[in-house]
Amino acid sequence: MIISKKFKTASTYALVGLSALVLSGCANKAVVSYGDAQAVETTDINFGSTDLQKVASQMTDSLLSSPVVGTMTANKRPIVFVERIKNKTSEHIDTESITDSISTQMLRSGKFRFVDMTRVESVREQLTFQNEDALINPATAVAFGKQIGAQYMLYGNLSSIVKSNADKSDVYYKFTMRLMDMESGLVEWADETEIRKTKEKSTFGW
Amino acid sequence: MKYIVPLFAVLMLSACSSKPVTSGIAVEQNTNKFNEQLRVDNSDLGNKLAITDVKTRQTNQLTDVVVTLSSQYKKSQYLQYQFNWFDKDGFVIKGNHSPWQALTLFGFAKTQLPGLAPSSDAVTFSLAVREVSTESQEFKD
Repeated sequence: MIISKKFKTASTYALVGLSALVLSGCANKAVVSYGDAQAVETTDINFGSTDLQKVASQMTDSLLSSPVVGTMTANKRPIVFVERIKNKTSEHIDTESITDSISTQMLRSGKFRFVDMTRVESVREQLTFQNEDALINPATAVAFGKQIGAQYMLYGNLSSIVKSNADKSDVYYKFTMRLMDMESGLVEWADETEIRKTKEKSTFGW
Repeated sequence: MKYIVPLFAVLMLSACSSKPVTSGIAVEQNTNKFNEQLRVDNSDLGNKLAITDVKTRQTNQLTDVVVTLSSQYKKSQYLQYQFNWFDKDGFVIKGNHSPWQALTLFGFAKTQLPGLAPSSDAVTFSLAVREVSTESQEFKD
């Protein structure tokens, strides 16, 4: 009887100890760490960094390997301006960030040159200051009317189809991009890329 | 009582998941012999997946590659791959951040992974393929 009682007490201690281990081993501690910026990110189903990187790298690869662009860039570096990517999805997406990545990769390839339409006002302000303010030595002022006009316009659309039911949500993104010759109005290159993301409630798990 | 203690032990072991496996298989263009370019760091994945071909050509003065990936497993595999590019001296191309890209490979399927050099300086490449690691890459709801 006494032995049995002792055994019961011992197993109670063991149980308490194990519970403590379970609770302390998996405690929610706030830990800050650096992650890989290039890693696949699946925090939720919304448009994320992986989608941005995938879209940018696929579009750049497609553009740089297209035969038309090969002819276009054979002996010169065409000047391009980025119009914008229209966000037709239901989410807020910073599409300028996508065009920034694409134009950076295109510039880095050494095949294209860009003019930046988002900084026109700043340039005008600076040139006005240089040419009209008495502080500046006129010999060193950058003259008006010397900038080079863009020959091509890069633009596109990002659209999505979202569907969900009680257990599953599915989102499909379609990203279309085009390069237009501004003199003739012809679309010289176009491509699209698709992304499908699905989120299911897991039956097991914590 | 005798069931509760083992149950707790199992809970303890399963709840605190270990760090994810991030090794995989790779092809590195450091020699001209195809067999010597292959590297298997994860034998589990190496048994289920193989790199069977590498093709290279020049497109618009840029190195263009396709790597053929063949599944040797009956179920779908959820993978990620990443290209890295090097110049003629073996230096990594600066400022080029190729992302890991997600890939679903169905049972016994074959697929070609395309890669294009970011600039004409990039002449050799390496490709790493790994399984989707279990931690932080699954939806938690």
